[in-house]
Amino acid sequence: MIFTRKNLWQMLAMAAASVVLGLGANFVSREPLPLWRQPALAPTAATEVPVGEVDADFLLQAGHAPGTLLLDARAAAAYEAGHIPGALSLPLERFAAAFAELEPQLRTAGMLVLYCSDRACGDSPELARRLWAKGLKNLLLYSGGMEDWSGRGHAVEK
Amino acid sequence: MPLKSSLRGMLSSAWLQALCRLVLGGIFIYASLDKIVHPGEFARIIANYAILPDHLVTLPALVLPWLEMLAGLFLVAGIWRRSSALWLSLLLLFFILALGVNALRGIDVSCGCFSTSAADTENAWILIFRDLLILIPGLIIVFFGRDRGDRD
Repeated sequence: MIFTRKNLWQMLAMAAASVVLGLGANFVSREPLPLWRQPALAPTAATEVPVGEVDADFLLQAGHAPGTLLLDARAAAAYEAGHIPGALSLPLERFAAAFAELEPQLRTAGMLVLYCSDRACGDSPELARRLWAKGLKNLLLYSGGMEDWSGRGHAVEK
Repeated sequence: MPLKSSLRGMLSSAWLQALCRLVLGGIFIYASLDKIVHPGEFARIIANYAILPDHLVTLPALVLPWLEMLAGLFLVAGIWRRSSALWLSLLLLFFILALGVNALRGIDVSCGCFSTSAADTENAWILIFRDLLILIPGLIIVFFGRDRGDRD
C-alpha cells in the first residue's frame, strides 16, 4: 500500500499546519497579500486611473528634464540586469518599503514616468494605481517598457 | 530471486534511506526559503503558469512553501518519513505535470514580465528532467523506507 491510513492522516496534518503557517505569516507580514486577488496581475488600472501614455521618443527628449523621474516597476533583479538610464527601481513586490525610501524624491518630482517589461506586463499600471492612491497624480506610463526601449537600440544602464 | 531481494535490501538499507532523506529534505528546505520570504513573487510565478485563475494564486503561494519546508524538515529529522516523502513526491509530480503542460502548449514560463531570477530562463524540459531526478530519492523512501516503529 502506498498510502496507509496513517500516511493520509499525517499528510492531512502537515497540509493543515502549512495552511496555518502560510496564512499566519501573511497575517503578520508587513506587506500581506490579498487572499483572493493577485495584486500585480489584477486587471489594471489603466482605465481606473487616468494616466497618460508616452513613448520612447518622449523619454529621450523629456526623460532627463529636471523634475522628471523614471520609475522601473519590475523586480529588483530585472532592474539590475539592465534598465533605462536614470530610472529608479520601485519594484512592485516590495512596494511599501521601496516607496518609503523614495517618497521624498517622488513627492518633489514634477512628473513620474512608469514602465515595466513590455506591453503585456501589469506592473507599471498597478504601480500607477498605488502611487495614485498615495496622492501622486502626476503620472505617465511608458507601456512599451524595457522591450520597446532596448528594441529601439537605446542605451541600457546596468 | 537473490538479485531482486539484494536490490530491495540495498534500497531499504539504512544509509541509503538516510541519504535520500537528507538530499530530498535539504533540497526542499532550501527551495522553500526564498518562496516563504517572497510570497508575492511566488504568486506571480504561479499565475504565470496559467493553470489557476489569477485570483486564486495567493493561497497556494502562501501555503505551498510552508508545506515544502515542513515536509523537508520532517524528512531530515526522521519524523513521519513516508508521509513527508509522499507529500514531496506528489508535489514533484505536480510540478512536472505543470511544467510539461506549459512546455507542450508553448507558454513561455520564463516570460520577462515575471522572471525574478536567472534560473527562470531555463528550458522547461531541463527543469522536468531535474524534477524527475529529485523524485528518485522520494520514491526510494516511499517504496522502500520504513517509519520508525513500523513492523515488517
